[in-house]
Amino acid sequence: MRVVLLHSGTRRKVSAMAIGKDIPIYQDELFPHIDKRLIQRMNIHIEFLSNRQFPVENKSICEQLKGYDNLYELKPKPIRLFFFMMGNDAVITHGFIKKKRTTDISEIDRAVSLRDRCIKEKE
Amino acid sequence: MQRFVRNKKIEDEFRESIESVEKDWSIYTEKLLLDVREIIAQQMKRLNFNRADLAKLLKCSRSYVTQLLNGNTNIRLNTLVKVLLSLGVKPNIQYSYEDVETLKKFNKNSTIEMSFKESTKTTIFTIESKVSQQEYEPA
Repeated sequence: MRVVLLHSGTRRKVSAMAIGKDIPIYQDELFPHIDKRLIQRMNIHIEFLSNRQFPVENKSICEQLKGYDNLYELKPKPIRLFFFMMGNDAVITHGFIKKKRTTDISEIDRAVSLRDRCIKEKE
Repeated sequence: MQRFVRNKKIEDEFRESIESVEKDWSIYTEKLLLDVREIIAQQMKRLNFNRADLAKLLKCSRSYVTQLLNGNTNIRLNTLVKVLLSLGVKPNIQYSYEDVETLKKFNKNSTIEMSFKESTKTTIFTIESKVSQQEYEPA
């Protein structure tokens, strides 16, 4: 499975590129102060996702959002990354640092709108 | 699509930053932990196990099992082997000698040439489940 990241079109820009075996390495521009280890942790999780077939059993690593079709979240603590499936690719929309107990609806809405736009453009 | 574009500046910056961190041991433990957590969850689903069932097998509390699955604990080797064996997984660790520089540090005066020079493979640690699916399917 390949993991792809959206490049632009988000308020919080996430830039990405593929290095080596289609493993993207990226930076969220909202968090310039972010620790290198956090970036490394995100990369480890993405590498983990790209090495495996999709349904991940452990729900503390990766889970489908309740009530939403084709929208999942990766959980490298304390960061959350939303992604959706397009064919065999997992496309990551954006990421944010989760501070509350529940995820913000605004973040989910952004992910949904990005997903719909991306699927429309591909068609 | 225009969105899937490579950005070379950021690519170079990140290569540098990652190479500086890559020698840190904590990354490898995190990779290992991810694999272990996933294998435990997979095998629990295969055997139709609850967390309570696993806790009974291991003679520990349910909260400890959730800690295992969430990766909040630093697992001992003893407990790791115990957990994996009780789920029917045989642990198998592979090493790869990649870091030649540290070897050179401690072997400066020796005349022995290293037979294993820089290898291109990037295998680090893998834990393979050698149990076939048919043997351990729930009855």
